[in-house]
Amino acid sequence: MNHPHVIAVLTEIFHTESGVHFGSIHEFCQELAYYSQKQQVMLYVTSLPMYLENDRQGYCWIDGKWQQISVPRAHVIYNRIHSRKTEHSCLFEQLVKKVKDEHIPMFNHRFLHKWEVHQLLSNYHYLQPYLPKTELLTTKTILDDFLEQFPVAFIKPIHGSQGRNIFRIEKTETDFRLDYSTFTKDMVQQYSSTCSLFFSLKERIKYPVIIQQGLSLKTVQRRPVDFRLLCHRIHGSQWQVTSAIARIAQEGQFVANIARGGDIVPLSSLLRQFYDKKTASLQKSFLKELALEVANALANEADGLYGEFGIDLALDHDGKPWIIEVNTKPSKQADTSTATQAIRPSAKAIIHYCLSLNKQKKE
Amino acid sequence: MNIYALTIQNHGENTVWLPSTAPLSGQTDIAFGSVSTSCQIVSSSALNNEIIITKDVAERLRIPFANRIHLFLDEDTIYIGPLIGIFTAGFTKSSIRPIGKRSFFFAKLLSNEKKVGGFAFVFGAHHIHWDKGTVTGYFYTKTGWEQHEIPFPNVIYNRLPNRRTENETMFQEIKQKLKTEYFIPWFNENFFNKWDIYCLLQQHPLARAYLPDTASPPTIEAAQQFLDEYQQIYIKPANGSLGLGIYQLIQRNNSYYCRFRDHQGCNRLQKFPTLSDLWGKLLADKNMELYILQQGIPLIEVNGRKVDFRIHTNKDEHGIWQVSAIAAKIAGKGSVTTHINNGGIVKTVEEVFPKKEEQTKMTERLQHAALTLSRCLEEQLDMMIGEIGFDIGIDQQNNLWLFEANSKPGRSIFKHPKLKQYDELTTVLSLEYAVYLSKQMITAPEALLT
Repeated sequence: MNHPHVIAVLTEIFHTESGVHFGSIHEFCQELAYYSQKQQVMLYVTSLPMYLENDRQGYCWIDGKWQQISVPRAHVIYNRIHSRKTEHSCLFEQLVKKVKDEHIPMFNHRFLHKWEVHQLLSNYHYLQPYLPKTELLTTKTILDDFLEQFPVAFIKPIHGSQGRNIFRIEKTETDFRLDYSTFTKDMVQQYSSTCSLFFSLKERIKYPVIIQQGLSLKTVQRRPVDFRLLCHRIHGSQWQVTSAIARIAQEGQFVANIARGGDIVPLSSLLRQFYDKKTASLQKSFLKELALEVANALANEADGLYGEFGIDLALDHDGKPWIIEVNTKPSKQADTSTATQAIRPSAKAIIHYCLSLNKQKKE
Repeated sequence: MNIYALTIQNHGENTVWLPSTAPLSGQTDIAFGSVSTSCQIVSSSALNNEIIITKDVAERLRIPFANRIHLFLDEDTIYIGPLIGIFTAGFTKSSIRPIGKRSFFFAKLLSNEKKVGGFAFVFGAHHIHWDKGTVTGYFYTKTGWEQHEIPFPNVIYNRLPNRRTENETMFQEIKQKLKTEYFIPWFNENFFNKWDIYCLLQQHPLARAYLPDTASPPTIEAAQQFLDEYQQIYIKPANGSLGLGIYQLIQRNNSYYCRFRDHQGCNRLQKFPTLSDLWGKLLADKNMELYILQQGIPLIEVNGRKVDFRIHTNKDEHGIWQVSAIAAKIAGKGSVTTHINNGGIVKTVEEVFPKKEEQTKMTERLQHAALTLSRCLEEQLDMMIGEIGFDIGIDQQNNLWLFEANSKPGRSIFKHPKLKQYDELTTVLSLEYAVYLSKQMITAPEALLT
């Protein structure tokens, strides 16, 4: 059969007793496969080593399971390699060269870490009001500077995800309190000076981190709230917000990631808890517009092709919106509380963007 | 033009310090927008591109914050700023989204102020306090939107969203009042009317060669006459934009064809035995007084699709026309026009003419035409314009034709990744032109008040 549209999904493949498994995007790949079939698109899953060794082999969803078969050449690649290490390997360099030589569009080009994202967005002056002050934490002077300006600061690994390994520093009248996202509340440690605090941080952190202005976020029952807006490219510089949810941090947690036990609610219903109907809808429009501006700015500024961003926004106590961070490999874990067989809008958006890239290539 | 850093100083009183490079000649007053006050003006050799003003003077002048500014002088007054008002409508009560869904558009426009120097702000009719001679304007700072009460601006850049708002009596009156009673120059005053533009350019010998044969209002007799001569014609709304409401009429083998976009936004092609059938079915219910009739041009094609060009021109900081962007627009299949919302796609000139030699030649010809037309139009119009978007086509004999001139050109061509950079250039140039106009108004007002 001659396929006009062939999409390859590049990810980590695990071999288990019950067959191949695609890790955190396993269910999502199935949704991509279902929707591809509806759209007369051929979709297969492969891994970096597998694709480089033989780009005519891949896993296809046939008769209710993933089967390795011969496949045609891919027209578009959806890069969902999750290991940063893999993306820094020679194999990945080979891949970038190969797809460039063969004119195969690949998105997202690669993982963008937190410091890169901040620097790229800083080039857009009009986004400045919504970017919390951020620096690469390299010296004690920077720590001093932040704690002088802000009562609270966060320290985050530049390669971190899912709210892991985040430190929260709070300046009180007498000391500095250090809280850590991976443990519970009673792990708070106290330091009498920024000197001892910096020394302790240096002992514990062996990877590059950013320090970020702490924001006093809006809360529900004293639990901080943030928002995840999933954005997909339609074509050119046109983007859409495919899903918008609010995340409420778990009791005693200062990060709202679901992976850290937070709750998810629809964006609109959460905003209605804060505002009257009209203001809620205004805030929602603005959050969506801001997310689209961020997506467009980042896609313009970063090298390579990007088609999907998970954009984390929040509102502070005064209702001012802030850009918390941008994820280039947004989570695809199915929301277990509302598990359904439906194909998520984000799976459809990915397929549509692949189709638009393929069409563009032909023009 | 030189840009100075303005500092507001808390101590001291009633004084302004200027660098000694500023050619002072006994000035006694300082002005910001429409307000001026007398104060001590001191020349200081210790200053380099910096102007210091004491807090009391800044408050009297209603200077909202320290900023990068320009300095202009006349016999008795030094002018700092300029204060550039951007006039629009459609404000909301939200402080994070004051101009509704166009808030980010204006945020981008205003954030270019840093490069240009001066104070630019957005305001609407209800922000003007006539009794106090002030305006409550929206500024975009590094913390977001801020409202400040400031004097009337030196210049007004019109960004009303559409023709309907612009034609409202209230806006016309406000504009007239600010122009004639306060002598504030406006630019990009009006949307162009296609028929008016045709008549004006027809009078200019340098423009005439680019104009397709045009008539208004279209009648069935005139249409037949045009068809006999040109085989295909267009009927367009004189005040239309985005290519809406355009009909293409073709006469072939004793049949008449009409291509248009129906109410559902679908491209349609219908065949009629006679012109009066066609007219009766499609055009009879339209008020033809509001339409023009235009000779159809057999456009050059790329991969079987018709191509025309959008050329943006802007006046720069010296008041001189510049070409700020060129894009090729490729018509959608079966579409009446090359408009993007009609399935058209945007390409760069390089993509359309891959051969280097042809590329250079075509770019030069398009640039030359757009600059000539900009100057002609300016000579003929009795209003100030800082930006024009031209739609120019090339026929199969390589002649250039002007289809449309837009005083408020759409920005969809800038969505092309390679044209993105020119989006910023056109907005920077608009602000630079505003600075130029402010300067002219201060130093040579007779040249503007014609």
